Amino acid sequence: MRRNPEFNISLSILFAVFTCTFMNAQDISLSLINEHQTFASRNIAIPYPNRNNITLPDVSARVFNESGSLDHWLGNTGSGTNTIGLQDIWKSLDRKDYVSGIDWNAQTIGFGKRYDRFQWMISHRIHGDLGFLYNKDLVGLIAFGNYGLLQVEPLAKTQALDLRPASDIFVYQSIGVDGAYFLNEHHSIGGGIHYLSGWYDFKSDVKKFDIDIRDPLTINANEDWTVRTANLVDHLAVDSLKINVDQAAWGTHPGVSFNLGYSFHDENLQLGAQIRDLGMITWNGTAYSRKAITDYSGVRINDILNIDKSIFDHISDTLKSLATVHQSGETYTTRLNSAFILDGQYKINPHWSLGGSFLYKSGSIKDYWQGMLGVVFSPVNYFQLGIHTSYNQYRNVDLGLMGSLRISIVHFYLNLSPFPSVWNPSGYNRLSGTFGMSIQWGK
Amino acid sequence: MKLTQGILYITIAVLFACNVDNIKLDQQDAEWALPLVQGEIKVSDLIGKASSRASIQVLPDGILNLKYTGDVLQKTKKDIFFPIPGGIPIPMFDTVNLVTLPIVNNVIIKKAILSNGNYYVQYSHNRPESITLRMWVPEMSLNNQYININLNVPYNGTLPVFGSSDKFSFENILMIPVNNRIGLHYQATTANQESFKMSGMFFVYDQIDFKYIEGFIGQNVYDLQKDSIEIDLYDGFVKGSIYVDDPTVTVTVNSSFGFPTKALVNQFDLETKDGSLITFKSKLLDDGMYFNYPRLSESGQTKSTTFVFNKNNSNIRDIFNAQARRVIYDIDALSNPLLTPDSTSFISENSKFAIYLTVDLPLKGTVSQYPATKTFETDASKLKDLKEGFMLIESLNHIALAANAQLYFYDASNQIIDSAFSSAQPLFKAALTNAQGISITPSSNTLMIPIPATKIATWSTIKKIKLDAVFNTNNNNRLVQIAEKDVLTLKLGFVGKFKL
Repeated sequence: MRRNPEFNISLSILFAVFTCTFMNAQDISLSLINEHQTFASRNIAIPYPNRNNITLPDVSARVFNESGSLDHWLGNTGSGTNTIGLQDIWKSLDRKDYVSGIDWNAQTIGFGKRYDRFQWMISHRIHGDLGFLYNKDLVGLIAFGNYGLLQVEPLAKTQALDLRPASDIFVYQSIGVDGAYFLNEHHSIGGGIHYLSGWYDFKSDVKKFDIDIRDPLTINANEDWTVRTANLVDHLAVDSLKINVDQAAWGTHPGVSFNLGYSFHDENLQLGAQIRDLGMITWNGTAYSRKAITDYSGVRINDILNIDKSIFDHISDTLKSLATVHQSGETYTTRLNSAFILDGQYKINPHWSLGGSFLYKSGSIKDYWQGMLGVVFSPVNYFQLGIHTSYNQYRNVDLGLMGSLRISIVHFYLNLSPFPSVWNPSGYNRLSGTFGMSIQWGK
Repeated sequence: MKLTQGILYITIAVLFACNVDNIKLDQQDAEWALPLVQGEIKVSDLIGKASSRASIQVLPDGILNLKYTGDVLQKTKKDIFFPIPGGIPIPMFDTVNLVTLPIVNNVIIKKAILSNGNYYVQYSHNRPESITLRMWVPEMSLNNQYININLNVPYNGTLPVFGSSDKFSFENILMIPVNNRIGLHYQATTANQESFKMSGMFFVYDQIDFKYIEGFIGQNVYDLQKDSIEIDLYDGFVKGSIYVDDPTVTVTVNSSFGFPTKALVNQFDLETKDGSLITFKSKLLDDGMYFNYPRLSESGQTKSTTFVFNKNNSNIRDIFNAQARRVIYDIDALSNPLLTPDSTSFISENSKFAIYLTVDLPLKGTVSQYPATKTFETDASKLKDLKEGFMLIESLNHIALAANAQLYFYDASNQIIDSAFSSAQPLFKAALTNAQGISITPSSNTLMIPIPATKIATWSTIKKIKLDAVFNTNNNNRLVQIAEKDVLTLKLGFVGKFKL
């Protein structure tokens, strides 16, 4: 029942590690400005606008929470500390599974060059992905405790709760080369290969996680789960979790990924298709597992009038045995969350163009799809401003803004979706965006 | 559970790290329950601890019965019929001597089987010649042949001639006196076949004992030891009491003596907790307590007689519910109480007379403040990790008794540091009963003993917990029955908010 003190330390480290901006890992909205910018998720088959390209930090991220906006979750204590009110969250949840996730991609730097019939780019990237599946009972159990939930949740009084959480977290860096071959004036194909080096990983495989709390002094649990992790968890037990974000050395957890692309382009129309992040990582990690049916109602004694200190000692021993988690070293492989993207742009005139794109991304928790349509206005050749709307599998309709600015050979680009009327990112249950810059020169 | 918690924390941390500088999980109100023990108190254990002197029985209808048993008072044949001492020679003044048997133990013997003794003859004469001497007793036989002693007495030149025979055993000799007399015969004969009287002739025995006696037995008072039965059912009561609806005292007499007997009740009292004596009154006592006995044809059998004193034939209910502490009884036995003339009784070697006295308290009645106390050791140091919470006690009571209880907490120096309540609180609800007072539906009760944050430090030093409970019937004094199946199930655990 008590928290391992080291958990809080680990929690703080996590905050630091994951401090990030609201960017979009697979920001399909930027496809509207494919013609002029060399952002990280750009279709590799599309010819670069300039012969020489250096990409400077390009960060994309997507944050999504299915169950409500951050405003719904956060409460202010008045002392400068925001609290996450789990009990309020629990009240707002329906009886179904919810998904939360964040994925982000940072291209630290890249060097590319375009020739008459082909082009290439070498880049270094850092990629992170996190997904979590939860339900009302799981949140309620943590928010109220087993006894507290029994007081507020009628269902808990009548049946076992199926918690079955799922979580997938991984971060890796990569270095690789992408290239394209221009088949002719209108068609080009591309491909890329990247060597991956995993930093840390946490992946749960929960086949069964039922807990029966209808009697507050009886614990019945049916567990069959495995957590595989690398360089993230030092110790995991039923009653404690010690996290140590120890960045792995290069090559400790190797992997490989591939990108493929195709592009059609003429004077006014551009169409593209690409598959990104086809690949896998092999982790040298640890597996924590537990498969047990627990039926604990305290230590049973025939004559409760004869209870003595030895009984309490026995209780401690029993609890320890009940909380036993099997630990073993394990080498395992995870697949990357690959993305399939279609995009197209049509130039109406020198100042206006239309575009659209479609994303399908596989996920270890849940797959994701999104469609986008947009229009771009270019009053001058060094500035572009676009507006777009998108629709995703969670039936969210978003309105976003994007733009780019060129100062000499330096390009800046930005996208944000949905675009808040007032700067209040906590008011949304989803945010995605990209910010980046590059240096391009030579026609 | 913590696995899921940890995963959720990771997620939340990641999701919100981007937006908020200082985030704290608001889990202030999460209450976790930790089961400690689950057990039961059988009503038989509860009663057994309070009434250690009693044995607990289950009556055919399932009701528990406290049985207090007194010592066995008994008399055997050896206790009431002593051997006839010998040592004094019986002179035989003539060749035929009719000897009247002494009436010992108020018994006129008609038939007996002897044991544990020896006999012989002493003789003297003045004839200067060898003689033969024969002595016999027709009323005493062994294997259908009366006892017969033949002696050749040689003359060795010295007068008078005297001597004695070897010793012969009485073992298994059948004696059938005629009119309470036996005949001692002898014949002295010279070599010329001349019979003559001995100048001295004596029949000598060391003792006469009997394996079996048949005859008339008069009135004898057999004194049995005064005894008592301790009743501890009420010892624990400081105040209040237990009202037993149908207590009984059973006197059982087993007799294998073949004569009628009647109880002589010298004392049959009940001593209460305050030391006063209340005398049993019963029609059974007024009528006289006659005990069954085996008839002549039933020799070797044991006949039993039982007298049950209950609320219908005595004042036992009233005097027991005055909080009895001891039953005192002094009962003797009187043989042949009607002094039936010409009756034939018997006593065998293994005859025995035994009186058993038991007190039965079937647990049907009412209870007022029946106490139960238990002190148990514990170690509450782990409470230090509790922010606030309470001890949760859940009970499911199949016993038709409710209880109020108080918990006293002791530290390592055995000093009371606190109590759970300001006064005893209802801890167990009585089970519902049917019209007969039998428990039919258990009652559940949940009790939460708050552990205020301000007391956690103090309570974490608890080393002993003393439970003081008092049980009551709470159905307006309607009678209830306590059955073997009645059990009180208890669950204990901590429920609280723990420090993050």
